[in-house]
Amino acid sequence: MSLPISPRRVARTAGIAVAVALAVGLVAPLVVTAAGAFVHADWYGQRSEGAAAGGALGLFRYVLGLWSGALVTSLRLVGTVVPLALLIGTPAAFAFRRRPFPGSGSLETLAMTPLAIPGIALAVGLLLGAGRAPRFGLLVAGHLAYTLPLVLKTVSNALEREGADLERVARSLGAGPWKTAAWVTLPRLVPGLVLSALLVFAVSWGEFNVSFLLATPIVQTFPAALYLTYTTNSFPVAAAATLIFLAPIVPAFLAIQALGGEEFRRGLSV
Amino acid sequence: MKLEVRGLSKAYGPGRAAVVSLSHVFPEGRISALLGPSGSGKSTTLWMIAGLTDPDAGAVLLDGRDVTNVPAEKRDIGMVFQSYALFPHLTVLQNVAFGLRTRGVGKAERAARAREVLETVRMGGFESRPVEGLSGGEQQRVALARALAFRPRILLLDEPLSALDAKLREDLRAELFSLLRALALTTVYVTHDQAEALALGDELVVMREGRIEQAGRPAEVYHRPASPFVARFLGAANLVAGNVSTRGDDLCLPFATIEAPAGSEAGPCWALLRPEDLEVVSPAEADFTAALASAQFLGPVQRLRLYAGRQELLLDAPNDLAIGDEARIPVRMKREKIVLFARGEGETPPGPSVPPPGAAAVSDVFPRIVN
Repeated sequence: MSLPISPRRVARTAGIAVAVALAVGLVAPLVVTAAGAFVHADWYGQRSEGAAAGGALGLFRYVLGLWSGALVTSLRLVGTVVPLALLIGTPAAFAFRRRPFPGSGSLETLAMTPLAIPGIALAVGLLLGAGRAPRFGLLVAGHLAYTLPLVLKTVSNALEREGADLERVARSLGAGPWKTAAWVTLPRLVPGLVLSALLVFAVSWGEFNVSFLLATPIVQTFPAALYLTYTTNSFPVAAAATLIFLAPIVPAFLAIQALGGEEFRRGLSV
Repeated sequence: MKLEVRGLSKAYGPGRAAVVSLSHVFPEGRISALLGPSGSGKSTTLWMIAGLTDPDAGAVLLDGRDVTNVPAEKRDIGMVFQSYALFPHLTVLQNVAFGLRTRGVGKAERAARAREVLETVRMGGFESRPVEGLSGGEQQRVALARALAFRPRILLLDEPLSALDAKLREDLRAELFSLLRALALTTVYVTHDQAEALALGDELVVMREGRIEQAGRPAEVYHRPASPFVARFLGAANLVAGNVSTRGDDLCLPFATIEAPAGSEAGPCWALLRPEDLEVVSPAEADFTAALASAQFLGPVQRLRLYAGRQELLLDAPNDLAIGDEARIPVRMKREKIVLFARGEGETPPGPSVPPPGAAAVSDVFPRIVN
C-alpha cells in the first residue's frame, strides 16, 4: 500500500521550493534595481538628477556621460586582459600537460593560488612592489592574476580530455611542432578557448576588489565607479549604471551556459 | 628499407626499466610481429622506433643511417595507434591526406592519392564522412590508410585490432594481413595476441621484461621454443619436471620413462609436451595411462584434462574420438616433438601461465574433483 504523500515526494517538493526561493532571492534585488532605473525617482522619495534630462532614456544618457571614463577604462582593460590571459595561459597549460618539467607541478599549483588570495592583499602587494608602474599596467597585472588560473584550468582540462595521441599521430605523419599546434591541437581547443575567453571577460569586467584599491580619480574601472555611484548618486542613477554594467555580463553567461556549463563547472573544480 | 635497433634502452624512472639493451635487425620488406605480455616493453620499443619516445641509450638505424636524433616528423615512418587517434575535426579524406599535407603536396594531388589509398582499404565512398560515427573496423581502416598514404619507409602497428570485438577482429585479421603482405613494407606489428602473431608474422619476436626472449619464424619458435617462457606464452603447453639420466639416453618423467631426444644433457629438465603432441592410443601402444578429469569440446579438437598421477596434462584429441566412461586413458607421447629445457632443482615452471582457450571451467575452480 502506498501512502498518498511519500517521503521522497515531500523531499523533492521541498528541494524545488528551496531552489525557487533561492532564485527569487537572488533575482529580486536585480528586478528592483532594474525597476529603479525606469520608474521615476520620487517613487523612492528621492529626486533624480537625471530625471531632468527626460525619461529613462535620458537617465541612461546621463549616466553614460557621467562614467564614460570608467567605462572606457573597463573596456580597454578587458580588451587587454582577455587576449593576454589566453596568450599566456594556453601555452602554459600546454607545457604543464604535455611537456612537464621538474617542478612544473608545484608551479601549476602556485599559478592557481591567486584565486585564494584576497584582492586587497594582491592590490597592496602590487602597489608595494610596482607602485611606480603605470596604473593601467597594475590593473592588467591584478586582473591577470585572477583570470590566468581560469584559462589554465579550462585549457588543461580540454588538453587532458583530448589526450596526446592526436598530437603524436600528427608528428608521425610529418607535422612538426608548429603544424601540429596549428592543424591539430588548436582546432581541438577552440571550444575550450572560447569558454576561457568568456570566463576571463566576465571575471575581469566584474572584478571589484583589486580594481577599487588600484583606482585613481583618472584611472578607475566601471565596477569601482559603480561603487562610487551607489555611495554618492541617487538610486535611479546607480540603478541605470548597474544595468549598463550587466548588459555584457548576461550574454556572456548565457554563452558560457550554452557552450558547456558542464565544462565550466569541471574547469573550476580544482 | 632495413630497420635495425642497437642496444635500445628505456626506463620510466629508477627500477622501472621498460626496454633493456635491445638489439635486433628487422628483415627488409617483411612483417615482424612483436609479441609479449603487457609490460614486456614491446610498445615502448615501437615508440622509440617511431621517435615518439626518446631512448635512454642505443640507436635506431634506417638503412644503416642513425636516426636516433631525428624527430618523429622527419622519419617517414607510418604508424597505426591502438586508439586509432583519427582527427575528429577532419573528414575521412582529410585524415588520410594529412601526411601529404604536412609534406606540402598540392590539394588536388593529395585528394587523389588519399582516395586511391582509401580504395585499397575498401573505404571508397567514405571520403567526405566525418570520422565520428565510423565503426571500429572502419576507423581501423582509415587509420591504416592514413599511415600509408604518404608512402612511409617503415610501417608500425600498435595492437591495431585489440580495440575491436572478437568476431570483428577475426574478420579483419585476414584482410589486414593480406593487405600488409601485399605492401611488402618493412612492418613491425605489436600484439599480445599469440594467434595474431603466429598467423601474421614472417618473423616472430617474443619479448619478456624488456628483452628479446626469442626471434625466428613463427613455426620454428612454436616448435622449438628457446625457453619455458616462450613455450607457455605461445599456445598451450604442458611443462613436466623430469630428469635425463646420467648417460643422457633416458628421459624420466613422473609417469613414464622413455628414450631421451638425441643430444640431451643429463640432469633435471623441463619437458615440453604440447596438447597436440599427446595422443590417445590403444593400451598396447601407450607410454602411460592417465585419469580423465574433464573433456571440453572446442570444435576442431576436444581438449582432455588428464591426471597422470599428480601431474596435470592437457591433451588435444580428435573431435570425433569417442571418450567413454573408462577411468584410465592410454596416452602416447610424440617423441620427436618433445623439447627439453634445463631446470634448476626445486624450480617451478617460469613464465606466465596461459590458460587454454575457454578453459575457465568448473575443473579450474575444483581441480581435484576427478569424475
